[in-house]
Amino acid sequence: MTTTAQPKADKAAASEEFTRKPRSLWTDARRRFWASTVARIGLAITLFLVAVAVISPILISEKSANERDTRNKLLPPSWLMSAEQRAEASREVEWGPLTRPFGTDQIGRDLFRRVLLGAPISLTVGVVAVLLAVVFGSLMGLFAGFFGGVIDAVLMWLTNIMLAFPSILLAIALTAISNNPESFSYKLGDFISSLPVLRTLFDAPLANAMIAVAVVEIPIFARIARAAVLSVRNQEYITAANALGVPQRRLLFRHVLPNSLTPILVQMTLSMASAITSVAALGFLGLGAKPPKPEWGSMLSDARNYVVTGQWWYALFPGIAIMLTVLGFNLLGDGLRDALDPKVKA
Amino acid sequence: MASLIQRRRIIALLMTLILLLPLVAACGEAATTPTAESAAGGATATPASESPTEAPAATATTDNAAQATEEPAAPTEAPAEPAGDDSKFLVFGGSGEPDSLDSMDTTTGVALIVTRQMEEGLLDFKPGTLEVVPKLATKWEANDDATEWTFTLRDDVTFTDGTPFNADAVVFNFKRLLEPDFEYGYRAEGKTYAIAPDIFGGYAGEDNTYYKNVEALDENTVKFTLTRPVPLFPNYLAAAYFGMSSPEAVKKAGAKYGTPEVGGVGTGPFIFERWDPGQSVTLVRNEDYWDKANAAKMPGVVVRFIGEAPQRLAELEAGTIDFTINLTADSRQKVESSSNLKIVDLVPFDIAYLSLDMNVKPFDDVKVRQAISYAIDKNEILDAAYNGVGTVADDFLPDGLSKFRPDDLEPYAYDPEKAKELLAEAGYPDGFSTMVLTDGTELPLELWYMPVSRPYYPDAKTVAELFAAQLGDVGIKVELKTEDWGVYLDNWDAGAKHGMVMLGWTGDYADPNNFLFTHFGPGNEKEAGYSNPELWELLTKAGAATSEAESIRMFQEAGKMINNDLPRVPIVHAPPVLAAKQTLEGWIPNPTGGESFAPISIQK
Amino acid sequence: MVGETPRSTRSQSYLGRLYGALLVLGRVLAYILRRFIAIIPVLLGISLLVFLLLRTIPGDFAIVALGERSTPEQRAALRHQYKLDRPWFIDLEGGNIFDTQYVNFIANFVQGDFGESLKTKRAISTELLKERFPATLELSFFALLIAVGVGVTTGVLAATRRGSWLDAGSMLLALIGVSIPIFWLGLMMQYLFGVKLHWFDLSQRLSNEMLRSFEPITGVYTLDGILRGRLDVTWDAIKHLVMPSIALATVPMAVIARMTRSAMLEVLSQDFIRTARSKGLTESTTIVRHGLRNALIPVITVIGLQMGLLLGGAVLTESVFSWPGIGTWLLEGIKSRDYPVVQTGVMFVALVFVVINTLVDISYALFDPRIQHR
Repeated sequence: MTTTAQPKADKAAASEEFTRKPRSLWTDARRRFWASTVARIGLAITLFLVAVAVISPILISEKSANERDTRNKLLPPSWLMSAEQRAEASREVEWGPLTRPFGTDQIGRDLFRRVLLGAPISLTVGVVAVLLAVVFGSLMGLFAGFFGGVIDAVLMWLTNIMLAFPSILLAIALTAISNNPESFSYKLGDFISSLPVLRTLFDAPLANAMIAVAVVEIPIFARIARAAVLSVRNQEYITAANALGVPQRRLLFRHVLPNSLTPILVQMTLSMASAITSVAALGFLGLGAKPPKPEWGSMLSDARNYVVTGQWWYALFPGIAIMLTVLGFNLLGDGLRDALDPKVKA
Repeated sequence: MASLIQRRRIIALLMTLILLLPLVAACGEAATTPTAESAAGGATATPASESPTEAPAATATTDNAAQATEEPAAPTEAPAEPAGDDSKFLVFGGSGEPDSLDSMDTTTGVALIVTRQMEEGLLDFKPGTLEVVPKLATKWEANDDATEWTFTLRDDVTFTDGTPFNADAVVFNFKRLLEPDFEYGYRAEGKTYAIAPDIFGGYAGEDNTYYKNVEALDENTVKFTLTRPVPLFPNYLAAAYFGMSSPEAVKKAGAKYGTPEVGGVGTGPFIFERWDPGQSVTLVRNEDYWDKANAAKMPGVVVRFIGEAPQRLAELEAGTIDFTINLTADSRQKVESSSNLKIVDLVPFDIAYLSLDMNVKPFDDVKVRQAISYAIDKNEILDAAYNGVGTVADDFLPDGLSKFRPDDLEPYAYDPEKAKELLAEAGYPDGFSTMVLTDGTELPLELWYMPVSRPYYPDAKTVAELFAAQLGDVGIKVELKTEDWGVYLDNWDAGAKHGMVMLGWTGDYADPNNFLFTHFGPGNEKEAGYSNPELWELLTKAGAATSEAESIRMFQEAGKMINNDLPRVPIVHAPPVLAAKQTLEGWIPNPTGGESFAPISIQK
Repeated sequence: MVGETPRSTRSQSYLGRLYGALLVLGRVLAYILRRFIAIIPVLLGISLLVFLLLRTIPGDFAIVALGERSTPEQRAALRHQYKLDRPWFIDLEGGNIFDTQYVNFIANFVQGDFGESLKTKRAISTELLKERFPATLELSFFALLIAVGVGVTTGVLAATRRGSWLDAGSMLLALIGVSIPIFWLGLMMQYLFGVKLHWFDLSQRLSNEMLRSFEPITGVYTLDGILRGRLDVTWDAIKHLVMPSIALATVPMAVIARMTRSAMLEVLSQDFIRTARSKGLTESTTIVRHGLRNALIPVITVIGLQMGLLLGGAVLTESVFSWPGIGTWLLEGIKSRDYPVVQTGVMFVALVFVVINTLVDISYALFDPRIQHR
């Protein structure tokens, strides 16, 4: 729900900044980026999360994260337990203050391991969703902007329609459709969740939720790409190239596309944040990953029942994980935007 | 510059308008709705406008009558507590929103607990037991082969809308339920009366039904004619489904009878007042109740819809509800340790089970079904999800019907090694993770868990995760799935749920067939592919047997057949966790899950 | 600026001025009209999308409505009643070429005839306009109130005390605020203020006693309490509103605070502020009269944008707090396949969303002198 960034990025796209020579732009940008505390913190959080996402599946097996211990269900973080309580919980292994640092869930699983294993899932969901949205969205925008006329009108009409729904509502509706095995999105979800690496991270419902979120992000990228094309299209060097008989396709991909990269890059970072929240929200509403997949939103959906009975830790840690991730990408996005387009203030 | 100023003023005006938009919209709505209100609210307005005119008179007379005649228990309260004292309504934490308040057109416990307060049946259960006692009928008798049943009705009862209760009203209700072409059935508009096939075997004219006719012999006598002997017929009629609705109210409301706008009209100790969708149903005391000794103690009851069990516990702790049902097992200690709350005990009269769809491979193989039964550690489930309260189920029949259980049954005790052996024998030495439908499609193996808490599965998702883990230990990988409860049941009825399905049952009355025929009768063929005509015949005969010894012998034999075929794996018999404020008195829950709230009161 | 501009136009005749004003007004009205005409194709597209979405969701309408045990004849009759046996878009064979599902859907919607809910059998117009929409409206309105009040105040304070701990702290909070999943925040608030401190009820819009003893008028309970002279109801409704509206307000509040701060900083650095200060006006007058007033344009735009987003956030907030608004209504509708409810609800939300966004666009255009109303 960081869609607020979109009009700004729109403006960014339309700004004249892109007429500058690439090199100086990038050098300037890099300097500005490193000078910004916000950007550095964002980058640090993001890198930390990526590291967690890469390392935790190596150190923690999914089996150990799903291991039940019904005798020790719903225990608070072990550093909050007294020595006696820990002694009582110990069986084969002696419990120390850090044995279950995030506590346990309703069948005694280790929440620490589950929260950590949620990182690769959420990050991958974000990356794949954003990639899908970027590919389809910027292609739409490029065609609309470059060819204009009827194509432009129809494509922009489509994006306007999609932007006319509150994004989470559209995602919910799309997820509901994906339950139909006949639907295209179901098949796409099925395909994505069967790909080599993704297979271990996704299940079919999660893949469907992810596609729904990607679809919702498409119009944002379409608008940015179109605006970028329009701003570049009438530049003299394009007119010149056109006059020299450079084929349209080449123009599109050689000149126009690279010039719309910066706003798209900024929006990608921000969309990562909103995609991750949205997928978690769908999981929370029971429309995402299925148990026992340790997806953060689905964990919160389970935890919800235990919040009212006092087991606060169950909901606390997955929520913090989501917040940290989203914060990281939002800060990084803000930093990138300030660095790449100094005229627009956050 | 002037134009700038003007423009700014216009802008300011516009901005104000935009900011006021929500308010304007709200007002616009208020302005437009009166017509809609009077049109749509026509039906609601009538009962509402009737009750004020009636209520004061009724209050006056009954109050006097009550003080003059009886109610020795309440003299201290009665003066201090005028009818309609707002603060004294009882608040019940129901576990969901009713689908209808037409008792004959619903099968859900959340609805029946409400309809039971308004729409009384001919017979009832003695509080806390399964013993049948008179209600609107004073006596009943059968002919020798139990195919004709005659009921004598009370002659001093009227429905709360003023319609007299008599034999014609009873005939009206049962014709509505059973005869598809009955004028006031409103079937084309969506009424289904889904309970009829389960209890009567089908609607009038269908092959399996035992219903033949219902007629009024005179003003207060009704005769049912059945096509085959049904010795337990009175037990059936005591079930909450057969509450009597006012014929006039039904005719007036048509298909809308039982909906939030209309509610229901019966003869009971409470009268429908309002239904706020998504929130609650409010019932007020029937000041003119025919049975003075059992009139409602409290001026009314609010039934809140709180789907999540932990939410109900939280509300009970916060004091916003007075009593509630179907809490999770964990709540037991919490309630017991609280000085303001208490657990209300109840013997389990239910079964939690796991159905295996025999239409799909590999569940068509009895070895696989047995392997699953051996792989499930029912004790772990009982400890983890029921806090150890309840009994592990080796048979479908609960303790209340234990005499009908086979006595030399060999239970499937937890034995993962044996499970692996059986899987290997069936050709799955490494287990399996898919299922093959009849049309050849191969799907990931599904295990469906219920999205709601029921007495038998108070925390279905947790149990499902335990099933998944335990089955995983022997190599069976399942995908856990769920969906909206209504859709879940519809799909189940339609046979569209494949793989393993978690479901359960709370008995409606003391009859083994309410557990056995319901689950292993012809209905199962569509639901989960189990078809055993030999068993059907045996169960039908056992139900129609006039000597109890004979009946027991046949039910035990049937139990053995079921245990061998194992189309559904029994898991546990668990008592529902009921809790109330310490100050609440007079709540005697019934094993069937439905009881009158009339005797309940709150002490100060 | 407004109050002190020299009236250079004073010499113009009164009529001339009136004419000029009318001209501007005419242009503005024409612009607004154009904007509203421009949303018609979008609305048509939305209706098309909703129509197609509903026909892609699995499950047979008639079976859902009538149940498994219904006969084929009953189902056919119901499909006929809802015109589901008609072609989708155009009918080339029958008598009336436009007697089709889509055309009927549009016609019924425009006339406010939304049909009946399959689940509750009640008129959808009653459920939507008298119960669900007022509930969402009330929640969103209070959330907006909190977001604007707290957001603008924080933004102004942060800007005037630039670099202070207050500035840094509030901006850090704002950064966290935009990143917080509101459903999680809702849960945590329920735990802290509901379960632990018992300050507020966990769910519902009114306490049981209030709900029972009170006949709503508009469905906006705080307003109805006042209209009915039942201030206890209004107070009770406000208490129930506190947690959900704070949860819903979080993200917009953060966005508004950040925008207010940066807009204020820009304005405060400009010459006329220095002039005002040098004139000896008090600091608070300077900031509120001259600073805030001029910083309002971007702030109001952002507020407008957030109004639309509140509708989306309401789905999640309502779900956490069991708030009987449009969000929970739609979720239940989707889960229980109550097609008429989903169809009307989605269409209605999109309609409100588009209208709000258009109004925001218009106000943005009117406010920003750089944008010409062509």
